[in-house]
Amino acid sequence: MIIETSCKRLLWMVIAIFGCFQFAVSQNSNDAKEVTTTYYVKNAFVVQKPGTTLSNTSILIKDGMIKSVGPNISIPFDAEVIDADSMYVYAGFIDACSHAGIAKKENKERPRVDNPGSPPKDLAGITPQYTVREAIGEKLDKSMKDIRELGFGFVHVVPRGRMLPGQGSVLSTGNLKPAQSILKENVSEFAQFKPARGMFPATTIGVMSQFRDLIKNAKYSNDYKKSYALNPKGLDRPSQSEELAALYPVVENKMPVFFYAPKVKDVNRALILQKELGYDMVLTGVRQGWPLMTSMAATRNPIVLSLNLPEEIKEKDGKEEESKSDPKDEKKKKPKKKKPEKEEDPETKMLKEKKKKSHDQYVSQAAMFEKENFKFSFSTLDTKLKDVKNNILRMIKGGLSEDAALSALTTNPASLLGISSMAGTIEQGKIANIFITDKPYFDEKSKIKYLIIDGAVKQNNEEKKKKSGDGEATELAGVWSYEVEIPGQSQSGSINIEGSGDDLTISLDSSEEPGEFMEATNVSLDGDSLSFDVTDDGITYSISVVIDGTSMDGNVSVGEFGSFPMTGSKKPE
Amino acid sequence: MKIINIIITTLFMTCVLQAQMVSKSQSGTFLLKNATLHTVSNGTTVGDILIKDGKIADMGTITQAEAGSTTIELTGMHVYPGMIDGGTKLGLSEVGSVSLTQDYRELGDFTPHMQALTAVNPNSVSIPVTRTNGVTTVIAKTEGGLFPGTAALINLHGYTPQQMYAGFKGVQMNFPATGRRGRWDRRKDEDIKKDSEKALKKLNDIWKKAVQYAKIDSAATASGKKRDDYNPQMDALLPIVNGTAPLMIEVNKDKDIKAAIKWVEKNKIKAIFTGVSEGYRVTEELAAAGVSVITGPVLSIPGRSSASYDIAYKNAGIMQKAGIKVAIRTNETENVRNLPFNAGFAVAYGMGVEEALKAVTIIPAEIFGVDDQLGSLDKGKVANLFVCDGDPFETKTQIEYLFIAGYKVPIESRHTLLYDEFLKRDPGVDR
Amino acid sequence: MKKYIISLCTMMVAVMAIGQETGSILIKNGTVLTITNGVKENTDVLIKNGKIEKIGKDLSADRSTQVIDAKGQYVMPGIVDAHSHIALETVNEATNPVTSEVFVGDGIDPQDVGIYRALAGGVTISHAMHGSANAIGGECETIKHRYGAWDPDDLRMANAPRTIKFALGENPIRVHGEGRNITPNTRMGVEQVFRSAFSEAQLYKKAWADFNSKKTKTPPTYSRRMETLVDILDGEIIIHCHSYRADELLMLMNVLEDYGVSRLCFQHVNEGFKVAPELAEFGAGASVFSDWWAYKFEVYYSTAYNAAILVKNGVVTSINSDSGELIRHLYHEAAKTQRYGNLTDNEALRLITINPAIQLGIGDRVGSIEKGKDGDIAIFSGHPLSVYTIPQMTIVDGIVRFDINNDAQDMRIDIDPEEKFDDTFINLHAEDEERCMQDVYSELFLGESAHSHSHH
Repeated sequence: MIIETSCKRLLWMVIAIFGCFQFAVSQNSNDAKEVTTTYYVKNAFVVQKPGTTLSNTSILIKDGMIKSVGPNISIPFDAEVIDADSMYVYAGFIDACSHAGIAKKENKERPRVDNPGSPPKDLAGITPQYTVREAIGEKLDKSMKDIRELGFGFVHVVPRGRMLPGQGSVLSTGNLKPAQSILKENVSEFAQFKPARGMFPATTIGVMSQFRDLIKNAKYSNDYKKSYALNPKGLDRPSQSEELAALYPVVENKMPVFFYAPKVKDVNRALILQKELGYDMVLTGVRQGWPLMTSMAATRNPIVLSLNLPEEIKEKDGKEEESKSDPKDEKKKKPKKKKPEKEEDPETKMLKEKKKKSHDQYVSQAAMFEKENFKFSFSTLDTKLKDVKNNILRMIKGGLSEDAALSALTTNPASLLGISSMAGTIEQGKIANIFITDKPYFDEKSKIKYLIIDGAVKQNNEEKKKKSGDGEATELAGVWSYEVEIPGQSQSGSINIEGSGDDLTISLDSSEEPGEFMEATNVSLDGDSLSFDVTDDGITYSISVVIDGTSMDGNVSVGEFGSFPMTGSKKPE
Repeated sequence: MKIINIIITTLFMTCVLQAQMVSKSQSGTFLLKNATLHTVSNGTTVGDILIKDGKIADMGTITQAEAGSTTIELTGMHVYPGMIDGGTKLGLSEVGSVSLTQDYRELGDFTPHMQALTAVNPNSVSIPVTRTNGVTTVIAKTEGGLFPGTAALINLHGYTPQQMYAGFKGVQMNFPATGRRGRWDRRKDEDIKKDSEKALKKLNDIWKKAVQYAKIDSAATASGKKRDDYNPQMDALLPIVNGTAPLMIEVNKDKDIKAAIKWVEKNKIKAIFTGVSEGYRVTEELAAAGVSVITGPVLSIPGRSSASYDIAYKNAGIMQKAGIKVAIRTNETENVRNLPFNAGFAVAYGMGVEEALKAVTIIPAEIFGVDDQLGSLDKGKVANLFVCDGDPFETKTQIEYLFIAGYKVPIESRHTLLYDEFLKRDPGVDR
Repeated sequence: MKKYIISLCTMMVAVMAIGQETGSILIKNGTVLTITNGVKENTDVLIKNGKIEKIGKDLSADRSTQVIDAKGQYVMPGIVDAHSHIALETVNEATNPVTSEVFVGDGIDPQDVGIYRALAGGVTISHAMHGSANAIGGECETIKHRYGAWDPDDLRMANAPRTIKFALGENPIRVHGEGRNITPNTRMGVEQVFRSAFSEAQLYKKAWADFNSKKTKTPPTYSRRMETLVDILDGEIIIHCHSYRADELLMLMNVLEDYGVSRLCFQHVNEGFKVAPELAEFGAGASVFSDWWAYKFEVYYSTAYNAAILVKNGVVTSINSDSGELIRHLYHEAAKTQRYGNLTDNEALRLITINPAIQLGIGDRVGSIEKGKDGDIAIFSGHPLSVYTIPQMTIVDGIVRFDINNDAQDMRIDIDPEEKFDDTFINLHAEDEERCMQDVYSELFLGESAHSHSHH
């Protein structure tokens, strides 16, 4: 065991040291090697930067770098030529904030703490010293590949976690080896209003106060450390707190805090904290920020808007309907339509109008920010990747200009992250992270034909994705971890499932009382819907979830307490 | 010396007991003179009432006082029939957070045989607190699953549940609800639908069995045979299935009300709907179905965040104006005393004063089939009435006298006794 | 049909009104209940730029001033609720018996439709409080009901004194002692939580004083919890203490006396009537329910005459809601002191106006109709203490925030763009639950037993 671990560490060091050769050397020496690192993109429309499209232009790429861009570049002998006639070339998009590449942590069971009022920092969600390198571990999560296939060449990755999950780094999406992916390390501190589970800070207001304590103490500690360094004589040794030390760059305004603030209330809170504590801040993942545009403009904080939009409301036959493309649903709906349209009652009509108005505001937020001359970037932090392009198109329909959209995906995040000299445009000397589409990207029907990231062609493998997307039925039996979201916090534990089909035995083990298994009753499995009850202390918890592969999603209802969303995943055997 | 000691001890005892118990009620014959009589059934007149043997023995101008009767001069005062609250947990719960003092929720989903009357505590401290606001009669009801139990109508005076019993018992049902259960109910829509379908299926299964049971029971009775099984749940449902007693169905959301109407019509059930907080949305259906409604509390927030702020205030009036028979309830335990204020708010927000008065007197009496005994000032009815110095719904009005089943009940409760004792505490702050 | 369309339009108007702005209004010919200066028949009230400028007969104003005819109606100061949890996203940080570091003002929810419902009951100011899970809870926020604002900052009442929630008795005992085996498990324990917190704060204060005067060189650890406690000791924060039993009221007064703290208002204080002379002597306020009792054992020996006894013993008393339901009819709750204790009209009205304002330290700015005070007004169809009265219009800082003749059915501001229309139904009884223990229930999931799911 020990040997194995140290072996791994050694391997890691080797990778880290010799990482630069990895461009040429494939992961497995038995695989066919790349025969060239020179590419020639021929005769394309090159969208060099927002607002500038060069026609009949070629691009020469060598060893991962753009060597030249122009109409008459000669083709080197070793170049692989990509005929891009009538195609469009874009600089790889830059995601201003994302968890891409970091696997979702398996739901750890919540340890019992003796005093929930002052829990260990890591359990409280305070790990500002944590890095993306540590978070990724040895293997980039598949999500990095998924985001690359959307045309993203760079991602500002931040660790997952609670209030202070750790520091963000900029990664190139090209390589699935973490060490080579990191372009710029520890560029930001990520923060969010996410309380701890059942311990301080268990609420948003707790997070706010904890934040104040941490930043203030970091300031004092940093100052003291400096004076100690000047003359330690007669002074106590400075604090050894890793958490505070990680915040020194923040209090010295050398590292911005990327504060995740989706809703208007989060924006307000983030602004309050910044005003009191005075660090540099990037409002991140903003979904509903337009009501506070004035105060946002006044603070001059960079803004990262969320690419997550509400479910689309489409106009159909003059009547609004939820957009659901499930063909089964549509079949069901058809007979209904034959009935004579009943006139909608005024109340429903009013509610629908209000809902539509609200929906439209979310969709046109980016346009509103453009109008007010904000230079914003986009983030996929809370966005389903499959919606990304459609959501960008919806924003454009909502009034956002294509140039502003492109800026938000390229030049703005590049300057925000300090990588403008490397990324964001198609110019000589920049990293060759580009993608080629058959039509202009913002055309609904455009498709990515080629992806060149880190100087290697990554074929767009949409077809492959379709196959794996079907999700085969998984064996239910095994140990599942679950998490229940309760306002302000969450609870977790594990579920043991034995047997199969109609003969399932289920027991639930809450991390509140680990080891005290509660046997499930009323177990029923209907297709992929699993439901059962457990009883504890005379309270019955009715659980009903839908199983999708190795994940479950549903809710727990607890009598008159109400009902709470529950998610879970199967633990690997 | 000894005698003094005893006197001191007795004094001390009285002091201790003062805050605990109210005085004894008086029985006898009472002649109430020259009051304004709000009969509810026959308008308002100035006159006298004779209370004798627990009944209103006579009304009008009574010149001859009977021997041994107590005459109470009431010029300028008002007499009203005792108010009836059509839905409370009074007597079934003493302290809200102490589960061992609560007797309204039995285990199980199908317990129509649980009798609220059995568990009514005649000495509940809440009872005097309630009646001193003019509420003389309430439904004590159970809570819980699909069929939580059987509610009972009780008068708020008596030493045993039987003495309190006012002549009506009703099996209760909670109609399967499609709404969310609280602000944390985050079930998906499909799940809510599924859950309510499941509950409805369960209800229909039970009903099928109940109908079958009733058939067997009638057959057994007709053939003079004795059944040898024991099925108290089904026995409790017999009068409902046979149509001899109404079923009290708690239902609130508009959709559920419509579903409940259908269910009741399909199964030919005599029904009383309770709750009905969204009745204002389905007045036509309710009126057409001819179902009686016991609604309240009037003082509550709207069930939907998109609904008008005052819709709960208006609900009773809207239904009543649509031709629905509406009684008002508080759905309270220790604060059933707020019944007159619930009626007052209904008036402020659209219900007629007379209609609101009826909604807390004669209408609930009719709904419970006890209007020959309760609900108005009429000769021969049970002497449940109170005397006040003004409009009984008006907040500042004082209740002066109270009679329940002919007993003159003192205007005393823990609340008044504590007031008397502590208004001018002695010793005060200096000792 | 038409009504809805009209409603929709007016809704937009109402929602467009922006936060901290002020307005000018002339209210003509009403019966003015000044609270501090008697009842004035047929009198006008002029509000200019958010402040009351004049009270008198036949007043006139410039053209830009909105004129409201209140003939036959009653004009009173906006109602003040000294205990509420509306407009709050989070109420309890229930993880520690002492959480003076948290501030519910950090969790203001200006889009809570409960604010509009309160306005529709004439309430213009409420005291948004931390819950009662902890002996020393979080700081509270006094908010003005400027419904229509998006920015939480727009609700804050500028320069209102800081207040903090304390709690005695069953709630902190149940959460910490019974729930987690952490003191307090008894009312004895509650006392020691206070004493130890205050003593620690004194040491903290000294440590910082030593550091700032360079007596010591290492900075002490900064603690917002301690900072707040020090501010309490320095008299900068008013304590609002959830309390019920007479013995615990006396206990807290003794503790505060020992630490030299005097700014105190008891909340709920169901047994305040038993020690009214002591409360009066200490100068503690009492903010009570009109008639809530028996929902737990510590309020079993209660009386609805509590407010009357307190008032008649000289205690500054108010009637509060602590509930999104009661806050809509505090005028009626105040009137109950006339049934239970025969208070005069003005005594009863003081309970929901000037008295709660005094308890929140804003008695010089609101709570009565006087020149120079904030233009916060509630207009009623009849006398506000009558059960038949109907609130007509509510004005905050000279801006109409509720007008019964301009009231849309749906007054929500923040509409979920993914809402399902049928989704909004809520079980009435569940919603009636008092929110003092909100956020504590959720912790109990898979933890404690059901009866903890209770009140107050």
